[in-house]
Amino acid sequence: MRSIVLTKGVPDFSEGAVSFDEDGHLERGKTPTVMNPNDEFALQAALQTKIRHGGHVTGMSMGPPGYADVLQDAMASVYTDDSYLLSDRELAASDTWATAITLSAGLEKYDEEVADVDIVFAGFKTADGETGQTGPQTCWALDWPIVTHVIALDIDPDERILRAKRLVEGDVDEVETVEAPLPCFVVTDPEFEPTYRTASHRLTHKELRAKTEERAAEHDDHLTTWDHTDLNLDPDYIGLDGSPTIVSSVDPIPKASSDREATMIDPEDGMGDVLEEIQPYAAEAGE
Amino acid sequence: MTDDYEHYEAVVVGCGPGGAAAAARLADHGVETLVLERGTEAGSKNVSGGLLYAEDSAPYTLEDLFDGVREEATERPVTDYYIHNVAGNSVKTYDLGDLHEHDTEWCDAVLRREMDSWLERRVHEKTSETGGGVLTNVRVNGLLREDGEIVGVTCDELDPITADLIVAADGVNSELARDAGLMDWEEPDEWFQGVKAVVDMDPDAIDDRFDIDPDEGAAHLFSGDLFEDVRGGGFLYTNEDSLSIGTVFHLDSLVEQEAEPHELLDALLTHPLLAGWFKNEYREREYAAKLVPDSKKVAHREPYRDRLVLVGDAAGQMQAQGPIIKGMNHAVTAGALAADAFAVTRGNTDPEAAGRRYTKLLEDSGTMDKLRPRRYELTRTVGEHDAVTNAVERVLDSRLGSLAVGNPIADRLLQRAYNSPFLVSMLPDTKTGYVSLPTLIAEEHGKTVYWENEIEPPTLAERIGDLTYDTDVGNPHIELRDASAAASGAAVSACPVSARDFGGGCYRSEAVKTNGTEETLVSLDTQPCVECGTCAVVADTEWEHPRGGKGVEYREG
Amino acid sequence: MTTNDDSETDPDEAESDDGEMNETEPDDGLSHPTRDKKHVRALTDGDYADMWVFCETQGGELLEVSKEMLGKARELMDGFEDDYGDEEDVVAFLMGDDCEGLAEECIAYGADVAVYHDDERLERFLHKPYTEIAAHIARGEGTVESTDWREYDKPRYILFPATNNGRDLSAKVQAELDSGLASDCSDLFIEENEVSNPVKTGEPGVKKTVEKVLHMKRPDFSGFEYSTILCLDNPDRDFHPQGASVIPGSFEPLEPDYDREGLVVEHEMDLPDDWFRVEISDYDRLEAGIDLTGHDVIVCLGRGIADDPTAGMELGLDLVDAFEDAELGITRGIVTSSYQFEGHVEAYSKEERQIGETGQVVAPDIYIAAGVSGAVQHKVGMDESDTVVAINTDTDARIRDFSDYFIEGDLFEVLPRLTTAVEAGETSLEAEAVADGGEDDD
Repeated sequence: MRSIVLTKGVPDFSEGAVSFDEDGHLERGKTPTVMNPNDEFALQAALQTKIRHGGHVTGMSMGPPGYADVLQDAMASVYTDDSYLLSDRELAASDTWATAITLSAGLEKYDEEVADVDIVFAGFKTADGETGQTGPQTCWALDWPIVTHVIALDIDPDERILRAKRLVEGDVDEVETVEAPLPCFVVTDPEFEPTYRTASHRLTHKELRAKTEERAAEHDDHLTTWDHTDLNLDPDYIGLDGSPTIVSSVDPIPKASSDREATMIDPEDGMGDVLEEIQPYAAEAGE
Repeated sequence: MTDDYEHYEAVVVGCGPGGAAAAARLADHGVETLVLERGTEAGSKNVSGGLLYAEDSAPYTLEDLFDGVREEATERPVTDYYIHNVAGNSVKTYDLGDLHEHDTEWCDAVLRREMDSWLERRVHEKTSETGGGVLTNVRVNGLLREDGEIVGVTCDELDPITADLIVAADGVNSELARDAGLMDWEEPDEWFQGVKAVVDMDPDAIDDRFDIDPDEGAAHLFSGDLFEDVRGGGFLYTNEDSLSIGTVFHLDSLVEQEAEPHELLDALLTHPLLAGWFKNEYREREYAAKLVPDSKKVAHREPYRDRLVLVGDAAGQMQAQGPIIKGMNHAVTAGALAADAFAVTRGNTDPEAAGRRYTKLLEDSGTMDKLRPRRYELTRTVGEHDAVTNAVERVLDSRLGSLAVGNPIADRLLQRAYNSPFLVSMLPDTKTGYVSLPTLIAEEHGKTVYWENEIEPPTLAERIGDLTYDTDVGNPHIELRDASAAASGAAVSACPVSARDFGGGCYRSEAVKTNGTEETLVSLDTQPCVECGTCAVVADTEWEHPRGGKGVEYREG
Repeated sequence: MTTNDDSETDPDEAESDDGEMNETEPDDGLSHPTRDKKHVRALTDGDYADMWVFCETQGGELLEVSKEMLGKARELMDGFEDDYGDEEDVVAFLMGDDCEGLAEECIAYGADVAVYHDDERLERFLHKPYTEIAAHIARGEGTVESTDWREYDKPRYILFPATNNGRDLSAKVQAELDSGLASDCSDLFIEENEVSNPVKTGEPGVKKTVEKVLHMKRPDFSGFEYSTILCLDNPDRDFHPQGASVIPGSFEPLEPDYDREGLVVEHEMDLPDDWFRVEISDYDRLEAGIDLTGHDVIVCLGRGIADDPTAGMELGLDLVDAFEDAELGITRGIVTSSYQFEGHVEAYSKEERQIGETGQVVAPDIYIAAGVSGAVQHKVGMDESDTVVAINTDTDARIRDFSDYFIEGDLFEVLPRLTTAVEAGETSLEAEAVADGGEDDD
């Protein structure tokens, strides 16, 4: 089995790391970059595939040269075998459409020139853009079968089929069991959990970790960078030029203050402002 | 059916010293060995008072099996050993050096997280070479049987596994030993409960305050009226850069006196005697608790069934006789002997061949006699008989008793008596040995300690708050079968993370109104649980360990 | 729409109205795999109209969010007519097995036109056929009967639900239509926009006013910021429809009017077997569970109900009922208590309603904590609430430190009074003595 995992760097939104300016806008320059948290699930799905069926996992990312660190993290944490970074000034300010075109070009080039790919894994939503669109759009550009919101995965390498459980949202949530042929594009849900029910799988997991420690430390030796000419991409269709959407304005969302000073109320003296506060939420009379 | 399961030649459950010794020795014999550890890392579930012995007379020491363990994974060697008899502010100290050095090749203070995780890495290296390895975060929840015979284990996290040998090194609350019907949790008088605080202290301060060199260490024991009438004592051991300070009590006595274990620990911590060591600085790194089996009563004489063998605490192999507290060394011996037994009987079609051989090795090596001394069997009926106890108590209370203990000759005799392994092993497990005699000694021979101990130990809420938990939300591992005060009320005080009038612990007693009547019921929240097993003995519960990697995670242990 | 007077001729943007690219342009050194893709079929100066709404269904019924989007689309297009004088339609489109009745229901919920595609293989969502059909309908492809109601190239606007399937579909359909979209929007409005971005204006330093722009507001950066996203044409490449996916619950549906006039159109096309490579073999509904998030008001009960747990629970539920959108939460102390609740309220004492670190984390507008002492673990579960009202007899209770109002009293007395006041629509309760007129405190 050969898989590619798409991953991205995002600002570290965890408390203490994230930085805002006076107006409450995120200061991206001052906020460190980390691997998109949801990509962890895609990486875990790829690792599960490798542990159960053997093979090779490649990490792939599109972004500035600094995203090599994210690919290195992927190597260290889920033992990817090598990394591909699609990086070029022309790719800056891509929206999801332009990103999808670029990633699909990278995947096609890999499939044609490096090795046949069985599964592409992507996470659901990045912590910064939060669109959830890039995976499906990239797959659309490849025109592969796709299974999204995957929470559990089982592969039959002989039949070249994957079986997945996927989460469907609606007025009532559902779990679907689907079958898809390989090669296939898989978008993992944050509910995805790898399962290793045999001791030998877990021992393999441990062995991989031990073997990867050295490799991840010398990540540069396992990194390939492709720019838009390598990918044969027309600059008009990538980056800002190739992006249908723009961000016109950004407003901070006021956070509820946790510094509260309680107004003391004696119920015998009426309820003060409390009733004024809660009355707008009253059920309409007669209901 | 079982053909579908993965098979290993040996499965070792638990990677403490006993499991590690068994696994390492099995690997030495070329046996394909899988070790399953429920903690997120070996040691994360383990607590001990803190002294690891290597006995001259023992067939194995930990260092025999793990070269370099003392340099890399243990704390200070114990070079000074004292017991303090306390009566109020009056303290009489005896040097127990002779007792300590009897049959001792070496003795180091240890912290279990550091030591056991180091052992785990070595065990994984060794067992990997014979086709196995160590897996953490896996809780073995029971035995796999075929036609009524034990053939393997079942786990929360893995499909069942079959094995030719199953080593249950899963600790004092061994679920495998109970599944096999070899151990139970019925009698409080078969158990001790220990609680411990690991206290931060700069290495230079330790050297200075205990008057030792950096490569030396001190052990201090405490008995007397520190703990009122609860039978037990205290200890203090020096680590590299911390102290292990704790108390150990007979569980039946804790229940009887409705004592709060954390308060008993605090009584020791705040005693003036300790002020000289604390210098009014106190930073507690970790609060911990565990049950300790009383090997005199529960060490299993035939710790096997079918392909299953028990080692260490799981088999009740914890020697606690007066000031002698030895457990880990016996677990190491037992683990290694079990492995040797399997190596000899490997391929034998009789599933119990290894177990029988192991039992014989325990006997022949003298281990069993240390754990269940024959002379104790003889004295126990007398030593614990109420009438005798009362008689002795009356004598001690009398002028004659004071006179007897109080004369200068008695002082020397007492020091000698305390240093006699033979006499110590006969010390009765009654109030007399733990409380009355030491108190009287202190009153008669002690010096008054005038230091002010102003430290404030953390509250129970703070102690729980400082512990690390990975709660298995919605999946409580203990269920209360009977919530009545009569059946389970004892847990409210005996549980080391619960207390009367404290709402943030595991057990709580509450007055509940229903239809105009009010009754007192016990409620349980397993989130703060430290998995000591106390409530399994003193309350009516359905007791299990949490799933792999879940529950409390000790950083010191 | 932008005008592109000065756009240079780009090889990829041939003027063919059917959107197919011209494949005979000279090569400029790159082999342009982008150009080889069928998706690059951009228009320039196309005709666009109407607001389309993808109406997702489940189990043969419209999802609530489908109705909510129809209501919002109705409001936006009524405003559009007022602002621009042009009457453009709300077009619902949906697919499934036997969904003509649902198409009619879309009319009742505000659509002018409802286009549906029936096929028994479409009973459940599948990426490939749903995408192909949606794009086919949107491009106006198909039989005369299914397309003669419209005269434009592509929709002007298009909305999808931001559900797992709706969001996937939005991404694929918009890519297929060579346009962009904003996902997970919580607000939408149409107005002009002054653009200075040179990619969109065609030259740096020039500002251009674009009309009829759908402004798509969405929380992003992990909820730290609201972004307003626009999908704007480039000078030499149109990006229509302007698309959005909409967070369920963001808008109110209209009251259905089953007499409303509207056009229901059945769309027809062949669906090749190859589109059904991914097969659904099974599906299960998940236990609904109790979701305490997303409500206006949470009433949370703590161990202050100990004196009479059943009555305390009833009082909490009474107050919940007095609000339009409220739910009952409990502390861990209740979950682990040995209280003997009577049968009719026992279900409310279970872990599924627990608020706090190991339970649910809620952030309602109003959080009423009755008899809650306020453990740190509890604070984690409710500290993002807008207004916190505590009811407690103990003024030293920790909850006081994270409350806006602290009503010092017994919940058994305070809760019924609050309930009565909310039900009666009172905004103040006069103290008894004052009501009696005994005091003159002016």
